[in-house]
Amino acid sequence: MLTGDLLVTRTYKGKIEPVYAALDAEIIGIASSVIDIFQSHVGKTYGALLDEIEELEEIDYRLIRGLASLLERRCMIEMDSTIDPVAARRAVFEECRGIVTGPEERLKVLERTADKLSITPEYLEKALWADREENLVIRQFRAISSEDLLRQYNLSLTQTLLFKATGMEIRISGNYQPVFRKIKQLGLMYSIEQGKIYLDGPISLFKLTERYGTAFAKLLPVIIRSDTWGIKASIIRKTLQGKRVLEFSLDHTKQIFNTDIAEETFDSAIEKEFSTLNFNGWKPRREPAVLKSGQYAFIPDFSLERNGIRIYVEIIGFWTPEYIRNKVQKINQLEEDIVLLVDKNLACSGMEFRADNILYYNKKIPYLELIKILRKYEEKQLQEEVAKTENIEIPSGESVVNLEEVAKRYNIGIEALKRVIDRYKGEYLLFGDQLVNRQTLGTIKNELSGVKRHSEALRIFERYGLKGHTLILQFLGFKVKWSGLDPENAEILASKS
Amino acid sequence: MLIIMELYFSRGTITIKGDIRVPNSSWDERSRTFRAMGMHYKDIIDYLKASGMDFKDNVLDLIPCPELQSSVVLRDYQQQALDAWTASGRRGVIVLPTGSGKTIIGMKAISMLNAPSLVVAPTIDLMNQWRSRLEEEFKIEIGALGGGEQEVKAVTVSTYDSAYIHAERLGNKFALIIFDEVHHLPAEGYRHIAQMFASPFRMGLTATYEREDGLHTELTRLIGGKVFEKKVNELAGEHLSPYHIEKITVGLVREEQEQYNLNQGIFSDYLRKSNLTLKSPADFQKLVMRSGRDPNARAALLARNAARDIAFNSTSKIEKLAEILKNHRESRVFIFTEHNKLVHRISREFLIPAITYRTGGKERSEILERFRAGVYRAVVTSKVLDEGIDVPDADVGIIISGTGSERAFVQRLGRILRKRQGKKAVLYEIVSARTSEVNTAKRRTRTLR
Repeated sequence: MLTGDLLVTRTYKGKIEPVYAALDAEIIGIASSVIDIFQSHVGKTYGALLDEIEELEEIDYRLIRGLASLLERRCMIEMDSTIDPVAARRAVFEECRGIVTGPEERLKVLERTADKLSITPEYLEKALWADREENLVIRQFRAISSEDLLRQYNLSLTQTLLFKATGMEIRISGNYQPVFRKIKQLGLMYSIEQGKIYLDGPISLFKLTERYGTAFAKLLPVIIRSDTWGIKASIIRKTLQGKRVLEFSLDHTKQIFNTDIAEETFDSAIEKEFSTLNFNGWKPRREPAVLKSGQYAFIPDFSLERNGIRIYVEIIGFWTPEYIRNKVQKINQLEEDIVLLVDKNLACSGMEFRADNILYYNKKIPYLELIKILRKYEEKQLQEEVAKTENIEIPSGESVVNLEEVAKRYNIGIEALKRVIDRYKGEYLLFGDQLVNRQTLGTIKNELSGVKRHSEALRIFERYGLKGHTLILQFLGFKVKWSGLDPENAEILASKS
Repeated sequence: MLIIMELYFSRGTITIKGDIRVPNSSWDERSRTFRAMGMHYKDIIDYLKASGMDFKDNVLDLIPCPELQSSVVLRDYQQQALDAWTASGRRGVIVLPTGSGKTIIGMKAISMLNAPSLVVAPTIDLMNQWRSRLEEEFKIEIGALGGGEQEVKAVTVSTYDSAYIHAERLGNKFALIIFDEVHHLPAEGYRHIAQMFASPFRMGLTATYEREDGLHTELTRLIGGKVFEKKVNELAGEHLSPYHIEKITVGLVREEQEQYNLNQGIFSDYLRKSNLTLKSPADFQKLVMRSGRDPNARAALLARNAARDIAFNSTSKIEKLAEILKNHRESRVFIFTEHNKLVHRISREFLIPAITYRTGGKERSEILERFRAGVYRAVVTSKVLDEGIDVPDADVGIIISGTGSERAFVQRLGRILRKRQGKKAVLYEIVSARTSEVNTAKRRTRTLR
């Protein structure tokens, strides 16, 4: 973050935006000359460094000073004196009662004091002011590339602009937990509407205030670690016409920052374990969404998805019965379904709190119990779909019917569809996801007689568009005899039964 | 179902649970409660009591407080000031000249309420000064916020900056809040302190109530308006040392004058070409804003600063200073300048201890201590010591350079006016002739003439 006087902005039709440093050859060149000056002043005084930087300010003083102030934080600056200047001054002032009125008297005082301290007057004179800023010495400088410096500068410009923000709206995907944790830690308030999160503070209700600007600026580095993000802030600007509120917006498509996306961090080993499990076709996803629970935001740890159903899972570490009760109250206000996983061993006190969809477990993820709960959802979805299949017509007289296509046409699950095909068993038989006409099966059987090579048999199946050839071969009373690894050598035989 | 109204303190605001709207509150959709700023706490309570409403008040969470006994006897005008404050509901601003004992009035108010209190002061020096006075008076440990310290006690001192930062957390912990140098409070940021604290009792202390930007009118709303005032000339002689002001004009040396004219010329050319006049600090701010975009404006501004530097730091002034110092061999001298550069030059040439904003706290109090004790007989300082710090033994003040601010001038005068037997104070002003500084100096003394 920079001081306000170093912020450069552009305003246009009620919008405001920092003038970002372009990462082009010219600006990169400027940045690298500032870096060079720092590099070449290691071992020299801070005053000399400032003088040289000042000469560059002609180019664009706010850019130069902005870059310099970021680079200063990478310097180790120290005093160059073995004598404590405060003590040296005390000795001199005592010697003259804190005043001399002429150069000769001054010299005498310095000589007398130096004598007492057993040093030379020149050394004393140097030590006296060694702690003044311009006399400090740069001991170390941690170098940085011009591009990285400019990206950091752009981020700092944005943060500096946000200092003046009265409110901020954000939109993020992923990274919910860190963002909301930070929001809470910074003492901000939020309200959520259609995925947009409006941020300000308690006092904002009464007046436009910049009080929370610093908090917005501190939140920014967390926001930009989201997969996709956007911010929109109201900025108070003093103009020649008086105070005005301008809009500042920015999103992830503008690649001007050093995001260096942090690795995914898990709250606990359990969460990590959870993310690697396979739940019978349910796909786990981390921090999938912000849910609205009354006035609060709720970000579950995981979602499990299958066939368009989504169940949320929240893993709870340390807890008390009240904590769980509150949590349950919160989730009861959700429209979505959620399962709480509570570690028995992390109870802080008291009895377990019982409610539907709470699983208490011991150290390991309660895999089977969870699958049981998921089965209930699977079954429920199935029932609903079976009900829908009442009106489904499967055309008669086809040789092969692909259930996948039918399911798609009626928008139901394939499992539900299979439950109703009993109605057609006079005409069709089910192999895998396909219904095959009994007559067709007879024709195929005839065609197969006399065929020896497995590959040849497969070509026949292919012609009919059949997929489950192993099952059908078996049904028709054939066996496959494999010899060696080459499928071309496999043969089919009519089994004895 | 009957819902009992409940009031809570929530990060600088009062939330009102139970569906009743009280004065100064607004509905907050985020929390689904009515909400009001902390400063309206007392009004809300008064309103509910007057309406005979039943309510539960959870707002204040005061720090446990020991007995706060004070044995100080107030002077007549101090007692009048305290009475006036009490009569206006223990709210409002007391305006008294520097050196007239405002700290004592504050301490008396604390012991009168005998309740947890926060004292807010603009600088770390001033904060530390309050702390040692309070420790001496009440014989308890005093909390401090600011200058690297963060300890909250029943009686706590704080800087304005720290009080601003911690208002959300500490706003309901003190019954009384005292703002020393209260003219700082109406500034946009600091105003939040008064607004977010729920403390029902509030006192402001200052020697200079009016602000040049007119914002002092805000004080009425924030802590109560002016309840008592006495001017320097009403107290001089009887309670403060008699004083006189001596203005000395010096010419610039030749090269300085040439450089001055050159730079001042660039500046006034720019003003003329762009049709600007500088009449108020606001005009000047406009110019500063313009300089961000317009390189000519920036060049003009830099030239003006260079010219001022020359006028303020002229060699003739240094020679004049040497002369004054020679004439006051037995006096205690305080030297004020506008720029740190000049502070250092004087410190180096005359071996006078210097205090700037960079001087560490320990060295700073050591220098002041030794000045009081007479070990050092001069101190040179920039703006940092303008306010409040006691230097009762100074009898000569020398202003080498300063702004046109009347307040700074009155305060600098105050530094040397504390009453002492047989003391006759003198304040020198050294001004460069034929420069803009002549007008600057005129502006700052207008009420004294």
